Amino acid sequence: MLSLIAHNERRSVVRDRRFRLLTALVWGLLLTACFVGFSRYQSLKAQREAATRDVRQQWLGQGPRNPHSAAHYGTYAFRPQSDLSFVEFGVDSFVGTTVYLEGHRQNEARYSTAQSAGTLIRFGELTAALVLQLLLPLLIIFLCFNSFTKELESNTLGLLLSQGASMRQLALGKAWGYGQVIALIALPAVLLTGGLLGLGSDAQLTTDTLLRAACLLLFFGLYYAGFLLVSVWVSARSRSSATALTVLLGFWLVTFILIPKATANLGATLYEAPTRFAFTKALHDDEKQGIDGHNPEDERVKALETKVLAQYGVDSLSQLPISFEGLSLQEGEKYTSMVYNRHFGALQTVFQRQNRVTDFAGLVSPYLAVRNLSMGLAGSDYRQAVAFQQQAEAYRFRMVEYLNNYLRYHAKPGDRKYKVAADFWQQIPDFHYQSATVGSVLGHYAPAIAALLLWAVLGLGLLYRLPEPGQTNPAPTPAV
Amino acid sequence: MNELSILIRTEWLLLTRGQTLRWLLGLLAGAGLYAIFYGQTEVRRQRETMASISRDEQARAGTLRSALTLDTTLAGNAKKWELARDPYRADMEGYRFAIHPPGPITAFSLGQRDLFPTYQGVTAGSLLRQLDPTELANPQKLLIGNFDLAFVLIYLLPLFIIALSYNLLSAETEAGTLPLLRSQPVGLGRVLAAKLLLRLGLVLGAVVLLIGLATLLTGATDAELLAQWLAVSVAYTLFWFGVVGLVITFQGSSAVNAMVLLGAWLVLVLVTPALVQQVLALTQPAPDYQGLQSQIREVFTKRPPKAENVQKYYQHHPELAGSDTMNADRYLMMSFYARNEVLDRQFTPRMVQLDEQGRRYATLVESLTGLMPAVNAQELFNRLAGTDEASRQDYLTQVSAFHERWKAFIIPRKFRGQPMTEADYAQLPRFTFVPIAPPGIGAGIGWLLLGAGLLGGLGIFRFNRQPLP
Repeated sequence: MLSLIAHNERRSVVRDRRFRLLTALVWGLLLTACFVGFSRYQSLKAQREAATRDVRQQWLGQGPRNPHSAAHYGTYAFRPQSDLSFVEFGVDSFVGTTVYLEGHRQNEARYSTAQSAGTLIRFGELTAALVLQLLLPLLIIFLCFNSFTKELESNTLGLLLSQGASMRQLALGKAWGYGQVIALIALPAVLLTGGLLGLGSDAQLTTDTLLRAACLLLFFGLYYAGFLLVSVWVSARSRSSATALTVLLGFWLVTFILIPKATANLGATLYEAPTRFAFTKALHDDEKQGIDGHNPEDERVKALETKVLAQYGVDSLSQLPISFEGLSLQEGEKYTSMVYNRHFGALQTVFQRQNRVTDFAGLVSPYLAVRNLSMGLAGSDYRQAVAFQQQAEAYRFRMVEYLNNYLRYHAKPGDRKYKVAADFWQQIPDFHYQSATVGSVLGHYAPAIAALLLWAVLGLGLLYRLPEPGQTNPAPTPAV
Repeated sequence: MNELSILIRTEWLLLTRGQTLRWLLGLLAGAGLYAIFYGQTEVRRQRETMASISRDEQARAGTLRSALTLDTTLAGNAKKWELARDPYRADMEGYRFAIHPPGPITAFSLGQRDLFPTYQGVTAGSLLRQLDPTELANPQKLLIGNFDLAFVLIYLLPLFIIALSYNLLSAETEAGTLPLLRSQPVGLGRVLAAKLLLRLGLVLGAVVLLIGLATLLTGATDAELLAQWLAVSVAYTLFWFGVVGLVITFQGSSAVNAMVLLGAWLVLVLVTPALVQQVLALTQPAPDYQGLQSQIREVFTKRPPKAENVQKYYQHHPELAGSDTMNADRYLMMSFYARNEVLDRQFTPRMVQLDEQGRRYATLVESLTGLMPAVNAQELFNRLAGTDEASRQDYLTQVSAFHERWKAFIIPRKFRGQPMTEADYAQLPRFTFVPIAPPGIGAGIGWLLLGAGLLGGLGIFRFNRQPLP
């Protein structure tokens, strides 16, 4: 019975000229989005790989130099594009692409795409994710809004029910039919994404990437299923097609356009982030409390000097077996790193709290839930931008520490002209970004996963509890 | 009483007795109020930051200035006094900020002020090494954008218009009242005109109310800007009525109309701008600021002999040549300033080039605004609010001029070994942003009206060509 209804529904939809037109439009958009998304991904990836190579060459080609001068010279870390980022750009365009790694300070990632893209970028970027998250649900609405009301309006509902089908069977059958149609529409997107993934990731599709793609498939499936079931339910409970459509479009407008914007803004109002001025001032005030390795007159340097002299049992710096300069520079580095980590950590926490508001709004707006999950799995959410910043900082600290310690143990005391050989720079390995594991992404976005599950279960539950016309007749209309 | 006004009155009764209008107005009013509140909160925060920057400036300069009046016979004071006399200290500790204050109606359209810095500390060192490229901001928040009045007008108002008028004709058909209507001695065209005019009046009334409310709540007083803002809003409203007018002449069912109009909204507001952005990003390579910074680093970390730096500096500043007293310590800082200026001179042309490259992007977008009414309206709103790219470029030009003034104050004093006096501290250069009259909004409004005229005209033409069966 179920498959019979589904089959009938599917056939009538596929024969509809309007539906074919819409499908062609969605396919066209998906194709365009995948193509431009992938081309941009490739060009960004190539740019960053080239920049990474250049910077490494610059580092290796410094020639003989004082190790601490090399810390001032520093190097750059570039945020790599994740394999799946061409489907979902996430916050990538609004995050700096490169961090300058130098001694004494932690810099934030700079030079985002948004910076040189004018006002236009604030309207968004056409990606497959935009089509799949925002536009496909609209297609579902148009598919389902009159699934029952059209029977009502052409007086065929009674006829159908008299054949022995219950409202529940009818609704589930219709939903099943539409589900097949949606799967048919989404299938090219899946195949295309898979194909491009194979092309994009240097012919080595990692299991990690495949796992991510599989999770995305599952979550999008839940998302569409929920949408479909709820749309059919609204149609079954409405007196007219116009009412059903108004309710569904109203829901789309509120949960897709209003809530995401309102919650992001609300988050920013609730958890106020410091301005750059306040942030920098607080940071520099704290920084001044520490040891200044470059200033021998600094009182804290004097105190350290006394302590070190006592430790080695000598009475002047020149008698020390180590370079005091290297030691005091590293002491200073430890302190400033601590200060920078604390301030940057606090800032990132504020931003994450702001985003948390949006995460929980996912319980009301399935769009937000699926968007957050897809950004997370594609590796283009804010959390992974922070992870990049933190890994770059850890690398920077180890690099500067190595350089200062090298100075400490190899330079003669008081030798201000000390230089290392030209081949020294290889001792410091290149920076490699380790992306977040699928497990940690899923763990972080557990509320979103719960929201999607609830959403699908809610849809199913609503259809199961659909009253037969005899029980409550006429069916109450949801308020418009 | 003429026919049209009777028709409008009847339609008014129909509309006001239904639930839809109340719901829609409630939603629009709620969104509008929140947008005004949010915009104002943001601008208030910006003003508070600017006030705290001023306090910080005064405190720093005040500390230095009062150090000059210290009794130097007391222990510890002599050193403070000596430092305060040093122009280098005045530069590093007495530096000032160049502030880009919000304009009279910035709260209406926050534009790019969340992305780019609206203040910049300026010292006599290299400007290229000082400029902050961005304000601290949550990337996810930047991605979603601001819920300001411009958002309500650009995104939500068209939906409000669509919801009010998608079933203008089809509702009569579906309710079976169309034959009744056509049997009246009034032409169907007049009935439609009355229905559309009433809705246009309603929407324009709502727009005026929203802007009036925003004016009251934010205390904006600049009548000319407000009038221009209203003009843009009206033109944008007319454009959407043009779209609606055209679509209803196709005489689809209510459902089809709703679908087509929502589709038009998606294409015009979301999809086209997002697609154009992607294509431009692909074809217009982003300016390589990182590469420039990398080059600056190469030059800045190589330190030629100090005397060489200073001699190079004199080539461009002959008036200062020979003013130095060859004091070793002073020479160190002279070389520092010389090195920084050489750096700016060497790399500013490249920076200008990169900025030009960014502006080409903006020019391309501008040339496409006729096709992107939403982007057009956003640009116009930003221009009026002083939050657009042009206003930021103005500000940056003024920052650069201020940097020159600041250098002209500090560097000669340092070179000549001329100590800072109390009077000098009182006369440290100050930055005042001079808003430059925004470029006209006529062309942008013209595009919107042209769109409205073309679409509406086509609708009328179609309606007259093939009247209802």
